[in-house]
Amino acid sequence: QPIGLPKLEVDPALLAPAEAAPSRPGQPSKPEPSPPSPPRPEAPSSPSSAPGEARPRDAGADAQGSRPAEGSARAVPGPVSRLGEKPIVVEADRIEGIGEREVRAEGDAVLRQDDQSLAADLIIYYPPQEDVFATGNVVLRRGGNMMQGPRLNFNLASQTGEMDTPVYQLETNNARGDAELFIFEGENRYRAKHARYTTCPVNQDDWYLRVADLEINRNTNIGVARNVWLEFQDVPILYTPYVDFPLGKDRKSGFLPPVIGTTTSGGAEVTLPYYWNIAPNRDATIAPRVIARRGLMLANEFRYLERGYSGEAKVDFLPDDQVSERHRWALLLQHTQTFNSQLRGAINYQRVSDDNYFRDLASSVTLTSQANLPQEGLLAYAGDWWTATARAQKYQTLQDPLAPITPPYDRLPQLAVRGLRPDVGGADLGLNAEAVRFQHPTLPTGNRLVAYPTVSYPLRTSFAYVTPKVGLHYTRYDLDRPGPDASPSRSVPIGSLDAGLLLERDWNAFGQSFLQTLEPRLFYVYVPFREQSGLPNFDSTDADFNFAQIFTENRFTGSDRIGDANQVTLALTSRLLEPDTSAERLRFALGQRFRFERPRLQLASPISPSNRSDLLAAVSGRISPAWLMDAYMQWNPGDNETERLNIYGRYHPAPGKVANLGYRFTRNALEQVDVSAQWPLGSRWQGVMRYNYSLRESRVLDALAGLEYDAGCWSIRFVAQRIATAVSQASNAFFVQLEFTGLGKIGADPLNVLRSSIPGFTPVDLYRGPTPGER
Amino acid sequence: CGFRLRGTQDLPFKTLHVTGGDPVFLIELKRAITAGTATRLVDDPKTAEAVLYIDGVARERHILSLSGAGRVRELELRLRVQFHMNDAQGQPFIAPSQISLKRDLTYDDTQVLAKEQEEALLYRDMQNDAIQQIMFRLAAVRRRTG
Amino acid sequence: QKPDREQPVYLEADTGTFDNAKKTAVFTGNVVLTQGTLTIRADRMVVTQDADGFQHGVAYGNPASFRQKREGTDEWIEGWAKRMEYNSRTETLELFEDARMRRGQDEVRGSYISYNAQTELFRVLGSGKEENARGGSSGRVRAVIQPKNREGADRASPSGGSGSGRSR
Repeated sequence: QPIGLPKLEVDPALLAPAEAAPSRPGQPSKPEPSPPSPPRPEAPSSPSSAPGEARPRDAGADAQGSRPAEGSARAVPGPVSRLGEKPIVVEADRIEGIGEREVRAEGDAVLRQDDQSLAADLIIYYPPQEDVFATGNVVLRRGGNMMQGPRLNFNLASQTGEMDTPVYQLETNNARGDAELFIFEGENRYRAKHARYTTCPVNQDDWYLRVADLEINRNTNIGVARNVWLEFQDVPILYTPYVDFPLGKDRKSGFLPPVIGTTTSGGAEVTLPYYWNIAPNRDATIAPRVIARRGLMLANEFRYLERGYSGEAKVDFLPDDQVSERHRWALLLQHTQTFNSQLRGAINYQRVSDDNYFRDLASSVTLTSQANLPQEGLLAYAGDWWTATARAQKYQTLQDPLAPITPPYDRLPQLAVRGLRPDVGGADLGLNAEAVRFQHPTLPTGNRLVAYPTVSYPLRTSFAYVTPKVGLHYTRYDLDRPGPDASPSRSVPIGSLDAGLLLERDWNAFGQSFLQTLEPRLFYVYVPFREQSGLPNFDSTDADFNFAQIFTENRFTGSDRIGDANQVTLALTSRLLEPDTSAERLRFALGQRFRFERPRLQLASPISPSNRSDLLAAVSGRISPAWLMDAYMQWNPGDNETERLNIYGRYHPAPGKVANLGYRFTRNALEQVDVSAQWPLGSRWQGVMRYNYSLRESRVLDALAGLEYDAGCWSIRFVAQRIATAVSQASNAFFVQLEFTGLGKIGADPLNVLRSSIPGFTPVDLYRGPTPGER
Repeated sequence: CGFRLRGTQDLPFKTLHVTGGDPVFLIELKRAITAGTATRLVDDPKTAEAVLYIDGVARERHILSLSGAGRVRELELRLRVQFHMNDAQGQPFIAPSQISLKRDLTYDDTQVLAKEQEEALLYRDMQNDAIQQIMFRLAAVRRRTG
Repeated sequence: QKPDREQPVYLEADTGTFDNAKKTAVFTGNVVLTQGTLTIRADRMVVTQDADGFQHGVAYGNPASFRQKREGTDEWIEGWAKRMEYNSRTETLELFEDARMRRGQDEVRGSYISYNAQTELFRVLGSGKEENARGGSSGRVRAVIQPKNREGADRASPSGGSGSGRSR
């Protein structure tokens, strides 16, 4: 399915009314050996009066051999698909006929076979020509589909025929409609003249699809509609002279619904994407996009999935953008390839024509917030206990003039090996090695070799584990600068001890008997001090202090700085596990690091004077079926200050009803409130909102508001969004979208934005109850 | 206060076959099972008394907060592991279940290389957390049938 | 062999009474009439003969039944009804009250079935609304046609219906 733009998935059963039209009986199939159950003679009714006055019929037919009447009350083979399969039941007030030449079933005549039926006031069948005529309240029914009209004529042999002014009801989406004429054009081929189609219930004619000529071909599974008008509240809003659509599940080339929108910088715009189904495993979407103030842009996307490799390429091109008076283009190549079970490769190359490309031409936050576009290619080999990676990586940095940033180093190339050989004489041998060439336009460049072999000896029982580990971290540089210290090196031993206990008890809470665990853990690290100020810094910085980091050996990321340490981390985790499945319901965690010596190596932030690190505390889980909460605090005992506080709560009682409350605080960095909700307003309306306000910068970062009206068989949604795209720049986007159930969506699709802005958001058609009038 | 040391976890199946998921996740899970339980891992599902299916391991990255300049300030890394377990006859030991975990990561456009390695660290931490929770669930099978 | 019409008629019954004046005969008790392949069984049968020698038979039973092999084929036709009337002048057979007729596996059921051998005209009637109201049989005609094994894909051959019947 094409990504992003929803396809005009015209409902496959569109105007293909009850496929009750008989298909050519296949080869004479062996009749099902259904034993003819001898019908029980019916209970003798009361002495009957004289039978209904038997109208003598004129005996026009010449007498052929005497044939008992029963033989002629044979089935009127109406819309039966495989006649040879199932018994045919005919019911009527009267059945008359002349030998093999004509059979008439009159008075609420019904012919039924399997799940198909033909009903009419009168059904006449001429066996020699295999013609069937039905008149008076003719109703064709097959499975959940139904078509009715005043008259039907049908020829069994050629599978052709017509029904006048049919009215139909389809099972999928409760679609219904009518036509001036319905033609059976042979096996599995139908045609409807001046047909109407809607999924609205009978008394609600909000919208109609009018098709002058519709062709349905179940053999090729293609439908073709000519002169198609979409009428909404009796106002024609969309016209196409020709559209073809798949009847089955497979994709089909064709125009996708147009996308209408506006942006502050570009003004009004219309995109009309065309989806090209090149092959089952290849497709392309070509989307011309007319932007009022900028001109015509072409956005193309090509996807391929072959045996062993797959990927996608996006090429967008906007020649002579009138606003910035230059060409604007964007390129994205993503390719992955598996050569064999061990070796795989990947390419991820992104490039745009200028720094403001996304801010001017994209409306999704994920694009506008990108500062560094990766341009890399890698090969990865996975042995059974080790992996090797070779990678060439650089970035295109998109600068915001008001907040310039230094671009990252390019790694041309990077060769890395990671291995862990378990249980060699009881010990686990580990190795992390890496050789990298760092390139940069302005900063010092050079090569770096790192080798970090380790030996650990895990001791484990069911309730405890102790894992001593020791390693030697060796690093050597070859810097592009003259002089003796062009190739400094550093080697530092690292020792650690990881130990923990696992206790449990049964504990009743919320009326259930949970299994509660208590998991104390100790993690000691010793790393001697090494003078590293003379070493370059390619990829090291302070790591976030969190529950993952407090159990690592180095307080810095990357390999350029190995922090000295003589400290122990103590932590306590307690989980509440569901009674029968042991699924984790709630988790509490506490952790703190204690230093025996004050570290001397400092990089970004200053060394805290206190020997006790910040205290980490976290609570997360489901308090009740509707309430989810997540709280995380990092408290600094030295300054008696809160370093970080994240509180998040979600109330999600039912699909379509969700409220999220988030407060994020990081000392001297950020303080934001993030509130979002999706809530029904009355039975038809639904509101969505998000408000992400930065208290520190007293500025709205992301605000979104939307309303959606759901009329059962159609819905309309309006969404307005304002996102901060630069220090003093914001972009507003406005989405209007009309969705016809079972037909497709017209207009800009805000669903992706809503999903990413409102956690727990559920699109209305996923949880909408049965639309009124639905059986 | 009623806590006791956790008993040995001999699961009600002597042999287990683990399949699905991505190779990295599978290696770590198998390591945890061989280290943590007395059950032996076998490569042939037919000979295994139980089969653990890792139906999906999805890693996602969502923007948690933006800086005043519209740049990414915090990322939320998510890991979703879907799995179920049947006995040799296909009867469910563990119904299809899902473990969802998330971690916050401060982001800084000037430290792209460093943040990339920190991201890998957080994903490994979530992976170990998910594996630990799966081990608890395997043990729950013992309690129910043991 | 010769069609049934030209075969002699045999009749057995527990008792039989004749009334030469009105040219009627009444048979009661396990009445069995055979004529060639035709066999009629009834509890009571009244046979009259009109001036021109055409016979008119009325059979009563619970139900009365008839069985006949179709000319030139090896297919049997059977019928049941509370009352059956056969008129050899018009060659019409009428079945009244819970009439049911079967040929091969196909079967039809109604409250009245009539068949004219000369014109091949047949009629099957439901019992009409009033009887229906009195909880009589469903008042509808019902025919069940089992799927037939058609020989070859000859376009003209009828879909369904006993193949042999067409060949003549």
